[in-house]
Amino acid sequence: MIKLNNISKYYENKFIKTFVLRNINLEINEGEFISVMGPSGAGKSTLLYIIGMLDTASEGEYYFYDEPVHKMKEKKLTELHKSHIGFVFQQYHLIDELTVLENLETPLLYQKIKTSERKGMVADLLDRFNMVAKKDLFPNQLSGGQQQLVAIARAIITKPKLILADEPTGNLHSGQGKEIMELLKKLNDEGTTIIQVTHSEENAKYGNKIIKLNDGWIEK
Amino acid sequence: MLKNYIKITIRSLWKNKLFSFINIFGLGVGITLCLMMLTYVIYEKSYDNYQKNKDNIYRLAFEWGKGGSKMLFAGAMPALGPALSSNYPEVELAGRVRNGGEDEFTLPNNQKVQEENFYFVDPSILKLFTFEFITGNENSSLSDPFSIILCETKAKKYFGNENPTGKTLSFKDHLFKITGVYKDLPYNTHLRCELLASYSSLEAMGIKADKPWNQWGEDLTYVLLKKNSSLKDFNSKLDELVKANAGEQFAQDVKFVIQSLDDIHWTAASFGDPGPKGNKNYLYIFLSTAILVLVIACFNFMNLSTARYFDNFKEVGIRKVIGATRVQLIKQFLFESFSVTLAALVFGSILFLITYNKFYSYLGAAYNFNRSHIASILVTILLLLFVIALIAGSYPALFLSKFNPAQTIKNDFMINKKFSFRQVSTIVQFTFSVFLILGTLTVYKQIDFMKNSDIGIHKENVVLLSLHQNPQESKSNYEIFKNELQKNSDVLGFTGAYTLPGINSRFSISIKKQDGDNSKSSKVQLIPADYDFIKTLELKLVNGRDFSKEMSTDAGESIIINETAVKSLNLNNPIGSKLIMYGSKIVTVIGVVKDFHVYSFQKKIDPCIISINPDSYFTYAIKINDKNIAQTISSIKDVWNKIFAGQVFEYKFMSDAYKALYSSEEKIQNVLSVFTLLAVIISCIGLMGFTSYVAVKKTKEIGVRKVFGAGIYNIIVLFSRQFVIWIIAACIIAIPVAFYVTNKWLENFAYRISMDITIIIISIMFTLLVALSAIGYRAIKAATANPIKALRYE
Ligand SMILES: Nc1ncnc2c1ncn2[C@@H]1O[C@H](COP(=O)(O)OP(=O)(O)OP(=O)(O)O)[C@@H](O)[C@H]1O
Ligand SMILES: [Mg+2]
Repeated sequence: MIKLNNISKYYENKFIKTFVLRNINLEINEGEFISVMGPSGAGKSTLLYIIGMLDTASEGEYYFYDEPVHKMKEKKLTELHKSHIGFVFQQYHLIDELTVLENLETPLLYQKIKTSERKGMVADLLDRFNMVAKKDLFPNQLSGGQQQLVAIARAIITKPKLILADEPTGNLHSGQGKEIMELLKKLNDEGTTIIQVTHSEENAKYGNKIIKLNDGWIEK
Repeated sequence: MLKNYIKITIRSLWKNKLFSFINIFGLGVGITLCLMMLTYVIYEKSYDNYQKNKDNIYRLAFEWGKGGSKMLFAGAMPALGPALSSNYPEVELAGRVRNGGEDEFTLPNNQKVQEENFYFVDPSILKLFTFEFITGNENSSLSDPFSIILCETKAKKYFGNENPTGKTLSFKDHLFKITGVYKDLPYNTHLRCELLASYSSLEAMGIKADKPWNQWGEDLTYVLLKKNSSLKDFNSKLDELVKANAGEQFAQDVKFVIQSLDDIHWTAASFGDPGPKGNKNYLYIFLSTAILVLVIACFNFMNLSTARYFDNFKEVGIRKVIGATRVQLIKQFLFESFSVTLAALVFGSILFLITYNKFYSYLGAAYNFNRSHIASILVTILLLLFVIALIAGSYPALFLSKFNPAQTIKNDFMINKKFSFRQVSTIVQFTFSVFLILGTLTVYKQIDFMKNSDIGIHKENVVLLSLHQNPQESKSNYEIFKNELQKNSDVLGFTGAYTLPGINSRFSISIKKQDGDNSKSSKVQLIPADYDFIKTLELKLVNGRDFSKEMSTDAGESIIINETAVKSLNLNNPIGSKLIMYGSKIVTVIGVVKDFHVYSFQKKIDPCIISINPDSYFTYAIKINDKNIAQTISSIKDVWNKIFAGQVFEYKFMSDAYKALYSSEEKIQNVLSVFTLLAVIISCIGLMGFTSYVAVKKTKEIGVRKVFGAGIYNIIVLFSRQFVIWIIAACIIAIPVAFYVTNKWLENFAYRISMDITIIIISIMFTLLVALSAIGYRAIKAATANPIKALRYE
């Protein structure tokens, strides 16, 4: 599904190149649940953004379902990104001005899905996440865990093949964290590929493979 | 999707109430001013457009005077109109229009009304101009004496729903039969005809000119010329015609001026010229100021929008992550900016509708919307909407949607980097504001200077009258009039003169020293006047003596000159100097008066000589007691009507005449002040909004600084420093430009203030003061806030 060949990322500042990722080679198959670990500043988020097509690599090749992402124009990238990938962040990143329901609805709007169908999908998801009672609340009226639940719901509402989660439990206490991890596990069981970044050994165990990143290198 | 845009827009506008309000208010006011100016331009430019023959209608005005002396008369001699109707191939139609005067009409129910826009006209006028008859027609309605036609409004006013045709109105004890009603003419015509009576009625009423060719100024004479006629040829034919009929001598002084309808509107009023005049100065100054204010408001809008969108920086990132395309994001931004602009337009249009009447009546115009104006205004509004929204919305839209989402989500470091745009736009705003403040102050100072400087004449309580007749023919009446007036104890002084300060006419002649170089002569203004001229106007004699009846040589052989004349004739010992006038006439200088301003401060004082000459008293000045003014004037009127029967009694106060010299400058000043005030207000509320934005952004920084020991003073300085620097930068840009432009304007005035440092200092101080008070509130609030709270808030 995902193939990275010699991917590097650097920032150029006054002619000095600062490498964040170096010669990353990686292959991820459909259905895998990968945990990325490593010290702060190792480049974990950067790797996730590149895989998620939110950022571009400085060098190297990236194939997504055998399509060369590194050669794509912005329009094609956005298209590919929005139809295949869901994102979850440590800071939830919900839209403050929108209610829970509207937050869930927005990705569908961007995909130009018809109203009736959209309403159905949102209702299903609210039901599944037990959030029907909270659907008209705004993000700041929810607890952190609840916000992260909404964020995950938003990430999966378009039924993406791949979910990228950057420290999804980082801001939550362990009880809530566990709930989120169970949810991700369940999604993986249903066939969604998941890549998560985490600092916790315990959470890493939910995955079937761990990648250790250090100073931009993958540790073998 | 649209519903979603609407929802988001409404929520974010509501969430940022202050910003929304500032944007809508500022833009709205800018739009109001622009609409005001736009309609004003359309209004002024469409004068007499309703006339079907507009391009080929001309009025035959004439200049009268000897040598350099010139008076422009709007009307011509009564015999000219009929003479043109035949024998001139280029003339299709010709006709006369005579002002009906001030007498009252008596309605059938004996009610009396006074009408301003009443004229006696030749029947041809009905075809020459465009009238839409409701009853009656342009062929026969005014062919008989004592017929009168009315506009619809007047007909309704007098007769309600009854048919007025066949009813009568009484005027000067004659019955006029109503033979037609026509649709009201638009307001923007130079001749607002509301009641028209047949010209032939004048003769039937016994009003007849004895010498219809040797008379001037009464009958507005219009011709409809065939297309492509040569105006030059026609002009010389006119001169020939007058020479043949009025005699060589009269014709010498007459020069015809063929005025197109546009000329009539844009040329300064001449004698007997009805209707309001256009003023191009107004147009240019107002239009450019309105545009400045709108630009300021637009910058405000962009400024605040970008400031606000940086708040949404993260949101933009999130939206991209969850699948928004760049186009979708741009659409959302544009939708929001279009909504704000639309709201501003609605607000601006309402404000315009509420205020336009006041504005127009202030400028002496009456605006009535007509369909074609509304269409062009609507188009302009929509265009404005589009441009403003596009400019204001596109910057943040393009700028923010460009970023790669990883960057936007991770941090908001871009805010500081992209400061330059807001910096530039704040500086631009304040540059314009400082420019306007400086301009307004300069105009104010110059007008104050002109109004309050000593003009060398005592102009209070002096009544001015002018004669519409050759004074040679009324020499005896003049003496009678003078003696009659002097019986009134409220009349303190009286003098006749060729012209008086406040009445525009000039009489220049050449003069030279008897003993000087023979070839060297200078041009001077001659004021033929009566013995009491200097006394009545309280001119200051600085040397020599006043005219005296006891001195037989004073009549004609003595002159009094002003200081400028002393200088320009280079007289070392003015009293007793002998000068040669008209090539051969020798006169002696008996006195020198201090310079006095006859014209506005725009003109330099001319060298001027005063001499006694009873043959040319066209104008009279009467100094009256400052008590019982109304009574005194009515008794003067009675005397006038008794002695100069048949001549209109038209008077004005000399002080008003002087004020009128500056009325257009004063209007510019007042409108400019309002505009400037609005510009400053808009800039300042923009600044206020911007400061509160910065305050929110910096809450954390300020909190941290306070925890580490910064005092309130430090915080306020931290806050205001950048703004003060920007405003000073704005001043540095604005002042030289303002200096240049105001100096150009001041060059219109021969007597003017010099641009001094105080105006500049006042402008800078004013701007800083206003701006700092706009900033100050937020700064103090931020500085005094509890730091722990601020940190926890984050
Ligand atoms: N715009 C940038 N310019 C220069 N360096 C950058 C930029 N963005 C990120 N970096 C650097 O890239 C490196 C990797 O950042 P990244 O966010 O991927 O780390 P991380 O492994 O996710 O760390 P953490 O566990 O703290 O989230 C950091 O050292 C950071 O300083
Ligand atoms: Mg990270």
